Amino acid sequence: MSALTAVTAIFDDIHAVVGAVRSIREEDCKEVQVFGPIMETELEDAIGKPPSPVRRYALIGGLAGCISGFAITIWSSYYYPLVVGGKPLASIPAYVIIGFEMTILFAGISALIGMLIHSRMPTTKLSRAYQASFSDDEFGVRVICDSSSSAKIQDLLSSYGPGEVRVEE
Amino acid sequence: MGLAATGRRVELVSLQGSHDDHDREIAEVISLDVAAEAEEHAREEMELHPEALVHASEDADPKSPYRWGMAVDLSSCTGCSACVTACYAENNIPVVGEEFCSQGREMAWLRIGTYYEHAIEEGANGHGDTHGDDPGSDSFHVVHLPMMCQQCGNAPCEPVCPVYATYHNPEGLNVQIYNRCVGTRYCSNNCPYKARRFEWFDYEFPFPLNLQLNPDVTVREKGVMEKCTFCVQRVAAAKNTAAYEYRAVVDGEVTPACAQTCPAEAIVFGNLRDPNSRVSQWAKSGRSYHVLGELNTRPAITYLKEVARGTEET
Amino acid sequence: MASVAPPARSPFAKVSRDIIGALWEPDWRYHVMMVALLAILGWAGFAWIYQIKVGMGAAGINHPVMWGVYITNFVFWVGIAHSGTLISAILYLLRSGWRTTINRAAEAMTIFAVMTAGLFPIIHLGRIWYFYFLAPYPNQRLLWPNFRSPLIWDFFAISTYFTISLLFWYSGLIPDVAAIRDKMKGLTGRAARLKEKIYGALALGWQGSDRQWKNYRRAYLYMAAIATPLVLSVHSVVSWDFAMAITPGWHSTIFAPYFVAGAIFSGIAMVITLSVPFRWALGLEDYINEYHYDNMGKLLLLTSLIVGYAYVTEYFMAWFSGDAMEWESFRWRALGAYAGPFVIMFICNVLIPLLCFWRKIRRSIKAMFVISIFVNIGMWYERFVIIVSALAHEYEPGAWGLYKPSWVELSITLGSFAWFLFWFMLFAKVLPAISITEVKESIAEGVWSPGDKKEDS
Repeated sequence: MSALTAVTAIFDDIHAVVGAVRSIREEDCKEVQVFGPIMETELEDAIGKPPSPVRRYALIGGLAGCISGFAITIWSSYYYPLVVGGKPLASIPAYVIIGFEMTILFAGISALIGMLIHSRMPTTKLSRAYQASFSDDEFGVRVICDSSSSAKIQDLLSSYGPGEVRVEE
Repeated sequence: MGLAATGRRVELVSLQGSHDDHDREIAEVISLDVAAEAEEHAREEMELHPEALVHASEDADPKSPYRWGMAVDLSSCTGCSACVTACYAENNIPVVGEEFCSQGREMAWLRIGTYYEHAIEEGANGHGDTHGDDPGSDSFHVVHLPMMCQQCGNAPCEPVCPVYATYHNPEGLNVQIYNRCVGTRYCSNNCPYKARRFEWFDYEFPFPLNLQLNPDVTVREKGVMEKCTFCVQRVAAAKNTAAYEYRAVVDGEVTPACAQTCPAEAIVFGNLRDPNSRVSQWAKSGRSYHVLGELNTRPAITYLKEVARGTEET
Repeated sequence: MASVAPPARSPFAKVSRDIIGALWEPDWRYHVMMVALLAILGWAGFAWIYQIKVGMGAAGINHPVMWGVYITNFVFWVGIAHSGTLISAILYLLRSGWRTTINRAAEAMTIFAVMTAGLFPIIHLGRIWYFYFLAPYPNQRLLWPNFRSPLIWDFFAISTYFTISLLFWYSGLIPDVAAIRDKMKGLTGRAARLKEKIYGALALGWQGSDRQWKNYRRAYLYMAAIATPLVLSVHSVVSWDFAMAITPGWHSTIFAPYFVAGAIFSGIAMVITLSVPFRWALGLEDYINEYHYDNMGKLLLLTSLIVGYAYVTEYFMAWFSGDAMEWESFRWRALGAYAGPFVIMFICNVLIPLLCFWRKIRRSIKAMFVISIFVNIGMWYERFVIIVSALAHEYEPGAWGLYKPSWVELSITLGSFAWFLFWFMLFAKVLPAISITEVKESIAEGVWSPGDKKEDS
């Protein structure tokens, strides 16, 4: 059980971050975390973490919405049957609209809930590594690695021109 | 005694938008010959199939013995408007006054539409129907069309009400539930006959009009839609009486206020599911037609085309 | 306005500073405007209370024209709402470069327009105290609403639209609000502490970590994908309030695409009308410039052509169908008592936007502003013409009648504009009116940066 070091490098250009993260990924580090005011697909790919599970939430929410939309309309039409305009009790073409809107509503809300859950939001505790400039114009790359590789990681990060490199034990 | 100009101007209120039915086959007039021929056909038909029912009789619960309907004979109607007055009296309809009438706010559930139909030609199409597009002709005919809620089988007003304040009851009536109505007024937009009225204000019935109110009928508050109900209170009363006596309602037992008051007996009311009732006989007549029937509203009211006198020649 | 300060240390920092610097501390003109808006709102509120007390008779509607200015306003405001979602969601999916600076304001416009529109189904009810009958709520009589009614479709569609738009807009705000929170951390004073708390709470603990970004971008993408069919469906549902009726002039299958195109048309016009004053007032002229108006002008022109085509198609179908009643409805629409509004509608919606064919006009912010005002007027009149002229001249000639709005209706109409502007002005001073995050992304990707007018596009 060797000691872990956290090496944080602050960059101000996202392309440098992409390069840095790519090289770090080739090393065998415990974790790489990137903070920043924006994100790009290139950087997301470079970080290489598994895709977001939010899509499952959207799908399940959508299905739930569709089923409940049709269920509520058709069930209520038979529960308290009233003939209107000579139409059948289960007026499917009309109920498609309700089903569609419920699908959209539940899918959207579920996607958002999924996002909050997996991003661990809402929270009042921000990460130790977070600093205010990460929402302004600076990016932070935080690498957690073995203490033995700490120096190597620092050099690697420095080669991409960061503004600052910090090390914590 | 003399005559002097006062200089005052008064707006004459017209309750009707247009007095011409623009060839829409709303107010129909036919000649005597055509009528006679049509009635002959109808009589033969009735002899062959005495138990036949009109289509509108289907628009009710299959288990119900009644499908209420009405027939109006335009030939008998003189346009006296006694039926309108009776309807006002029976159904607690507020009288709104001249100013509101000029704004299109009158409350009559039953109105007499006065249509000036031009010369009746025997002519080109051989049907002896009216032609409205002959402005040069001097002779024209006035048709009085009592128009009220047609209690349609495929009522366009029913599916658009968001709260089910109007629906088709098992006896084929299009019922309006005042308690449920929130007043979106979509039903009126969808009614092609414009038979529906809206309570614009809380109308007053100043003494002694309040003594005349019918206790069997709700006085509606502002914000609800209302319309002809075929005097459902009378229908219910007749059914009650019949139930006490362990029998069905017989033909002629229920008379709505308009039918009761008409001096020319132009309006008959009854059960369209009874092939022998007066209303069924009238509905199967050769002169029968539905106003705006092509919209497939399946109205319960059948009108009998007016027969114009002396129309062998235009 | 930002006070004199040292230049920002990087383009990103400048963006943050410009946009956050436009917040709070309004000047006297803002206060005057807000007081005026509240006064108009107060008058409109009084008119509404008068109508509730006296009855719907206080409005000008009558038999047969049972829907008038209130429903016109309803459709008008719902239509305006759609452009916001088009710009923020659909153009996001299409990866368009010019949407970044106007999408926040456009989405805000959507939310406030839906809030405004949502008032009218209540205002126009005869018995508004029972408005909840339209909702499926548990009740002792086991009653349900009529799901076949287009008005209930409206209820579901517009609630869904409001919810999804609000969530979409809010989720877009999260990184920006976190930026404000962090900026407040660097300041002293009670005001800064309070703002840090409030914006911090709204930011929900956002820290821009890659994990959060990953989930956020996925969720944003899915919400944009969901909002797209929503835009198309919601105004289709609203158009079906008319198309599902048998009224001649309403009962036409063209209504759904016609109204959706019209909605985007009037919405883009409203975005232009709002963005020109607010970019000046907030000092954000670099962020919304000729490049954006050029592209908005193209969209305006496209939707104007679609709407014009729809007008022609309606007339063609009415004539081609041979249905005398349908044709009469359209003939009277153009030549009858409401010919004036019809002409206004035609000129403002079809003729004036043709000016956008010229690049010089599209690139002139003043010209686009004027054109957008005409389009707003024209689109309001279009809804008025459709609703009123169709109801006034229906199947039974004996029931034909005319309609004139009363002072109550006009007051409430004015009040709706005041209500909308009030919320928009509040938003402009409290939340970042331009998406800080997306502008930064634009700069980083080299697509566009503030001040770039893209003369060669």
